[in-house]
Amino acid sequence: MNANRRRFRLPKGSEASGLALTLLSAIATLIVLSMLAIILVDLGSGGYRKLSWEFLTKPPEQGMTGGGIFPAIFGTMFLVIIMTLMVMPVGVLTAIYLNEYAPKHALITRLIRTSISNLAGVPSIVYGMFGLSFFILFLGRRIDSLIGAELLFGQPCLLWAAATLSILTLPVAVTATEEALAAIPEELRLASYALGATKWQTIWRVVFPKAMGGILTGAILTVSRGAAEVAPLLFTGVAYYLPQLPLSPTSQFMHLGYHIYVMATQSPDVEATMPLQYATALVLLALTFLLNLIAILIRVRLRIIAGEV
Amino acid sequence: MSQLSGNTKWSVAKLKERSPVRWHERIGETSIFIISLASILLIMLMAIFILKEGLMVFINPSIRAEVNFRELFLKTVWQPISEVPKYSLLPLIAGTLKTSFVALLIALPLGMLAALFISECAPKWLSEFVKPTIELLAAIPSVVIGFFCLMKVASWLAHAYEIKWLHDALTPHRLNTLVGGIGISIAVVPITFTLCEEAFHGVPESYRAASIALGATKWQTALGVVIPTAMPGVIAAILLSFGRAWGETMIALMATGNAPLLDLNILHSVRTLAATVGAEMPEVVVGSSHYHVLFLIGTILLSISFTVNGLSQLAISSLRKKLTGG
Repeated sequence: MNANRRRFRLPKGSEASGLALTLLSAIATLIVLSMLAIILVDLGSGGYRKLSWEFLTKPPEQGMTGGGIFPAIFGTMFLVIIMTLMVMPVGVLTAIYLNEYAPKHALITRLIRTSISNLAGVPSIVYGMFGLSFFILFLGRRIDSLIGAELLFGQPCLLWAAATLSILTLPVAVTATEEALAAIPEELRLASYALGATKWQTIWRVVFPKAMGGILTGAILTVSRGAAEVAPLLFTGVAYYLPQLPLSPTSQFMHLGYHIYVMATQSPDVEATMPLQYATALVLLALTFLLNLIAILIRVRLRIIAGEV
Repeated sequence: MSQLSGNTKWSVAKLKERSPVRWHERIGETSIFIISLASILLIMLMAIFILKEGLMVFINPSIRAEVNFRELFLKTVWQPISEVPKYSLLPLIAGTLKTSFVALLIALPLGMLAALFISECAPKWLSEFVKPTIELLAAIPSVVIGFFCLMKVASWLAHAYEIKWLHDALTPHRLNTLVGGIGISIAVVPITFTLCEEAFHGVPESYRAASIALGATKWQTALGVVIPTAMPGVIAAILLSFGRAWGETMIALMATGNAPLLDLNILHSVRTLAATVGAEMPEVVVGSSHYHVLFLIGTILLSISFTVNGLSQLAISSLRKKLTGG
């Protein structure tokens, strides 16, 4: 009896040590949050003075020490748009297969899921190497010899950079879309079947329209992920300075992230371009944050509609 | 009963008779299946095209004359662009491990404690605020984190180097392992946090209730029940955090100084595997020894990421089994 009671007795000082642990973990949370705050404040205070309409709409001038970053903004957007056009259809259809058709424990389902989780873990620089060796040197060179071009597709360019990025963002697109589809209640599908609809009709007329909001959120997160990556572009088509805008998919392009990287590490006069670097970093950060905030807001709205909050 | 099932069979047969095969649906469904195989094809293509160029180092005789196993893994100098190029991967591997170690030393405790706080202590409104905020932290482009470390973190730490004994004892470089490690930890912390929080959140409420009913405090429950139950998930979080730290490119490229030194001083510059590829691949001659050695680095990065991912999948599936009682 006595032994029993002892076994369940709380160790002495447990209240104090519990308080200490609460405090410690709260401090850890605070430190993580402050990382975000410090970066935001630093970039904001360092970059806002340089931000202006001219900065956003003019090309660089005086050997990159003046002017704006319009070509880099344009290049980033063009790249991300092509990437989205490539990745979203494949991502959405894969998610539809996984969520609506795939037999749960079949080998093929497990293979697809393993491939996607492996793709998500591959370092982004390795995507760049794949883009170089597969898209540019293998596919591009073959297309060139097929159409008899001198050097059109067999060199780093916007098309291959977008293709590389689209593989990198495929796991994001699939996971987000599948989440959106899984959130649609099974009853809706059953009701549709009960009315005599086929599986195909149910998916495209009931499930898909209903999941549209969630899929849109996924698309936005995919775009934000794609706009943030620089490493896969380093040798698949990005350029430091181009006099004209990249209007064809086979031209090279300027990119916001790469612009920051080169100006910060390789410009001869770092001090002179510092305000420009800060402003460019602020623009890129604002772009990705804006996308993520929109995604978060849509998600909150969807949850309110679903009656969860 | 038998009559009922007979009836059902009859009506299904009749239904099938009435609805003809819808060919466009059949074709549509088959194409969805084929497209969903793309991910398998892509991961296989990736392995093939990285390995084929990387393993050439050991196959092609003219490259083998320049680079061999001994050179790669037993010597200590990485100097690919010189009269006699030297391709030792040792300083790069050591540099990557050093940087990842510093990054994880910062990110793992912070991420885990924060996850514990959010899942065990924090009121709902607070976690509703913290989780999306950490999502935003994860959304910061790594080139922006690299820029921040290069400009600010390096300068802040430089103030500490003015202390004389520290300066004399460690001979710090402005961009070093610590600066890079801090930067990478900012990129890793959201991953550690999210995965750990998911693992803790997955522990059923009934476990906690049972423990508290037996008289345990909240923290005794957290340390004695929640963490042990969620352990496989925590291990998966550690593995995936390591995978992210190991392959991070832009932060390493901008903040570590990029000197391939082989020592244990965390205030000295290092060069990581991924940063080496990022810095040297744009200028390399396609087909040269240097090109193939860089792809060998890619092969190493790819195999590590596959291994880490496989192990974490195992851990997660064992967690799922544990919780569903299977």
